[in-house]
Order: sequence, then C-alpha cells, then structure tokens
Amino acid sequence: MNLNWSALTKQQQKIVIIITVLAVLQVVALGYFMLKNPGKSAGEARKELHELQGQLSAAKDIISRKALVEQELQKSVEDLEAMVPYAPAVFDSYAWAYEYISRRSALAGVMIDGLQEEISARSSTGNGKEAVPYEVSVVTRCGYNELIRFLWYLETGNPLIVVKELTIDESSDNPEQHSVRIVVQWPPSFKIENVDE
Amino acid sequence: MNLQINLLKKNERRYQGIVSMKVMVMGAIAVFGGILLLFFMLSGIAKVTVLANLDRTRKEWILQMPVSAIIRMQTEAAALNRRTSASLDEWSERTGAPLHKIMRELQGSVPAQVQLSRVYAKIIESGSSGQPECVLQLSGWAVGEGGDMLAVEFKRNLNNSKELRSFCDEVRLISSRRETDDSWVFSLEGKRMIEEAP
Repeated sequence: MNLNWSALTKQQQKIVIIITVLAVLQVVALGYFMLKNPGKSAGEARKELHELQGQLSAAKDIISRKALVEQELQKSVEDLEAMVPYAPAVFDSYAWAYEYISRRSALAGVMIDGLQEEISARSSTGNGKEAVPYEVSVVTRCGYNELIRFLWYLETGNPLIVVKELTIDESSDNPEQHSVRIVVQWPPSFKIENVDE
Repeated sequence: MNLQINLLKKNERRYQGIVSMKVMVMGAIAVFGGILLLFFMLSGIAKVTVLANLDRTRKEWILQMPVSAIIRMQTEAAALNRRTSASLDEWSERTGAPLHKIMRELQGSVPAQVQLSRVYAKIIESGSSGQPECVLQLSGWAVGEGGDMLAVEFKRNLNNSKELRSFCDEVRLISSRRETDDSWVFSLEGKRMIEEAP
C-alpha cells in the first residue's frame, strides 16, 4: 500500500504519528524487559518462585513447631543427663566401678576378694571403633542371702547396670559360704545431642 | 441525456463513506498495534510482579532458612536422644527381670531335699542361634526317698515362677543319674533368646 503523506489530512497525520510513537514505545518496553532479565524468562522465574514458596511454606511449618521441638529436645537432654551419673566415668572407669561396687558390697555386708576389668570379646576382635559395654568381674565368698542382698544393692543403685554373669559354686570347707563370681556390665558410653541457637 | 465528465485525478479520488479507507486501515493497524502493546505491557507487568515476588520470597527465605535449619537440627537431635534413651531402657531390661529377684525365686523353689552345687546365670552375647541369650544352668543333687523325682519337682517349681520364666523361659531337665543308693545328681537348664530391637 502506497501511503501519500501529503494526501492525508492533519488529523490522519496525527493518528499515524501517535501509532508510530506507540509502536516505538512498544519495542522499547519489550526490549527493556528482555534486557533486564536476559537469563530468566517469566516461566523460569515463576517456577523458581513456586519452588521457593514451597520451601518457605515448609520452613514456616517447621518454625511453627519451634516451641514444641525445643521443649522435646530439652526433655530428651535432661533425661539423658540424668543417666550420666550412672554411667562409668570415661577417664577412669575402673576406679568409678570399684567405688560403686565396694560401697554396695559394704552395705550388703559382703567382702570382695577381687575386682577386675573384663576385656570384652567384641572390643578385642572388633575394629576398635565399635562402642563396647564396660565390664567388671567381682569375686567374693558369701552366703546366699548376703549375695541376694548384694545383688539387690547393685541392681537397684544404678539403672544402667546389668549383671551379665553370675556363678555360684559350693564351697567344700564351709557349706554356708559360696564361691561367687559376678560380672557386671554398663552400656557403651552414650552421647547427648544438643543444638544451641 | 446528461453527460458527466469525471475530471478528478486518480489520487484525488475520495472515498464517499464517513471515514476514508486510509484512516480505516491505519485505525486497524493502530488497534492491532495497541492490542500487541497491551499484551506485551501485561506480560511485562506480570513478569515484573513475579520477579518482585521472587525477590521478596528470596529475602524472606534468607531470614527464615537459618531458623528452620536450626529447628530441623533440634528435631534430629531430640530424635537421636530419644533413640539413645530407648536403647538404654532396652539395655537394662535385657535380662527380663533383675538377677536378685531370680535368685530369690530360685531360693524359694528348691525342695528341702535338694542341694545345689552350682548356679550359673549368664547373658551370652552370641548364643547358639547367633542372637544374645539368657542362660540359667543349675546342678545339684537330691537325697532321700523319692529323690529321683525331686529334680522334676524342682523344675516344675522353677517353671511356675514368672520372674524365672521371664529370664530364661522354660527350664528343662538336662540330666539325672543315681549317684548312691539314695542320692541323684541332676542338672537343669533354661534358655531365652533376647530379641533385639529393629
């Protein structure tokens, strides 16, 4: 179509100018948006926004449980901390166990003939990384009732102790006294997890 | 007869409608251009809005992420602590009953004419089945009339004890033989597999 500018009326010329200006503006606006985010289309941005909103929603959900989680953690830490005094000391387990067993035997009126650390089979054959229970063997000579009393003191005084082995043999020289060997065991050392803000 | 002569040049011809053809064409182009422009403008606005939302969400995420990460770590720590507590509880309950109770029950179950020569109770870390086991072995002798049946009576007494059964399930008579005219030597054994938590 051949457009003769001089053939147009003033009004028509104005319209053509306005249209041209709008077209130029349109191209400029398009170029502006294209150049502003050259690497990211609206679709990509929307996708990222959607993912981020999902993550944010999950994060907010977690944050809404903050007080409950802190309370649970606090309780779990307190529960485990309450057990710490009953676990053998890491530095000198033998002395710790010796003191505990000696005090209990004195309460039960049982004389201890020997007390020694047991080397666990798992600790000697393992790769050294596996946590193993701590074991101590006690050798004594006592009557059956004293033995029961001794076991009662041992088992009720520490919630973590387990009598792993008990051997009672008759004594030929004194029927009232028995040869007794007790192996007591504590669980492997445990770790208390805590997270400070 | 009337004769009309058209003296207008070709480019001087006028469209006789209200609006000229050129204006209509230009208007159509303008409408098309306007719609196109509107489309791009709206797309631009939508993109700007998305980008603004993305920017705002990113800022919010930067603020919330460390807090949620800490809470997540606290949740994991609490779960680990609970698992440790459960394993400690399980640890001390492995024998089923404390040994002082078992020895007390044993004392009350021995018939008057029975004397024990050896009592052996143990937690075996890897028993015959490969699993940890609680084992109770008893050896002794019975004297007097009906001594051959005393070991059976003893076994029955032991199996009537709830505490003993919780330690080593059912006690079985392993052997019994006459030692002298009125004495019998016997041995009893009970075993229980300790079920480990999954």
